[in-house]
Amino acid sequence: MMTSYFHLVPQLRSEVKYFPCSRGALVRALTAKGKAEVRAEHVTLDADGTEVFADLRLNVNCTSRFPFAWSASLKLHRKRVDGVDWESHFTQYDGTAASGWQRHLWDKAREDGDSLKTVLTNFEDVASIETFLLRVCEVMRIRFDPKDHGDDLLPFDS
Amino acid sequence: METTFCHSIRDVLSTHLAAGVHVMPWRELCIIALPWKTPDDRLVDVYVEPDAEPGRYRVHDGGKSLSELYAQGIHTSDERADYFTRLAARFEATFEDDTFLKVTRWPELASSVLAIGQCATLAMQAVVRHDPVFERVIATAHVARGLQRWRSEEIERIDEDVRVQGHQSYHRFQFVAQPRPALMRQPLALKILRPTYSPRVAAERYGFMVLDLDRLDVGRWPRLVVVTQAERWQQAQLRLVQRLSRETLTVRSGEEALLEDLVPAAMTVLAA
Repeated sequence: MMTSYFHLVPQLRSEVKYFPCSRGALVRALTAKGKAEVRAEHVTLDADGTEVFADLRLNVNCTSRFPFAWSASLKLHRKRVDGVDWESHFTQYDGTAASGWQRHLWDKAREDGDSLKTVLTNFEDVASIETFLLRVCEVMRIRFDPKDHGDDLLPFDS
Repeated sequence: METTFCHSIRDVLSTHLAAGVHVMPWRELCIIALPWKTPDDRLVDVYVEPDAEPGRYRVHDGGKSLSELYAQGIHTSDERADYFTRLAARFEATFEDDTFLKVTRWPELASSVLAIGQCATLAMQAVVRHDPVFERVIATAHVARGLQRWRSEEIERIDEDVRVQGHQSYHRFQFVAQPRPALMRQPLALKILRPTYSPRVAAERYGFMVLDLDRLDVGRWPRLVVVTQAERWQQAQLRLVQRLSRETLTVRSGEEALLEDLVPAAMTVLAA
């Protein structure tokens, strides 16, 4: 029987996730191409203590000259389970109206990361790709390789 | 149906639409939220800014639609880009640099905003058909464990995610086992082939890699190829990979744990 592993999403969101590329390399790739996808194999523990490997993808898109059109998302099984983007008007998870940068929450019942959102307050000054990436990593608990080899290529699946 | 009833529907709808349109100024830009949602549960934002030519306006989606698609793992293939171009043309707009754009004058501004809003909404239809892909277990993790079990005194180290230079391009091996220099042996390379875009693409990319490394030192390294999701591959595609590799292992989805036993045996053969 197929196991979805989506039950681990709340845990994955709260854990620190390590991606095997440097932040500098990602910023260079985003500056050159506007968008990038990086993969990581994250190890977490199931409820019974069994090691589970999660194939995570971090998608960042900074193609637009307008920061509010940028987006970042963390995907599991190619589905968004966490993310940051901007909307001029949206309804938060508690029914209140909001505007601006938002973080996507995980809807356990619908197994969906699109609809539940909460406003982010520390993104208002985002104007550069580097700042955007820094804030995203802080919010989504993403860490990169501290060693920057000056390589603008990312470890894509090849 | 009574005319008055129809008119009352019209009034209710007008009020609803008017109440649902929001505007927000940002520098030289007006951001307009339209009162309908995309399939990924967002209100559609359309941006209006003055054009360099006085009296004209640039109405666009700021590249937001494509950015949101990308965030959900939906990439712009040539086919999809062609669809977006045709879609934009239907609304007398253009699709350039991942952006739906219409340059317009004041009398057509409202219809242009609606046109870009429609483009932005219809572009998101791919979300509806985007299903999760379950990768239950990760082949790489089992291969890594298998390599550690196989590793002997003769192996100085096992490098992960090794990039090599071919004649035309760079290529990657997931693992390279480096023998101790005193042994004067070739490194042993291991590549995992996943049918991410299709088995055919994976096989052909592998074939290109082998050709590109031909007559280089790295091209002479004995290679073990691990083919995942074997049930998706056709015989011809597998044969191509097998012909171009010293050793090949194939595992079906859900059976990746077997690699912890299969890899040590295959590496022993490869090293012999």
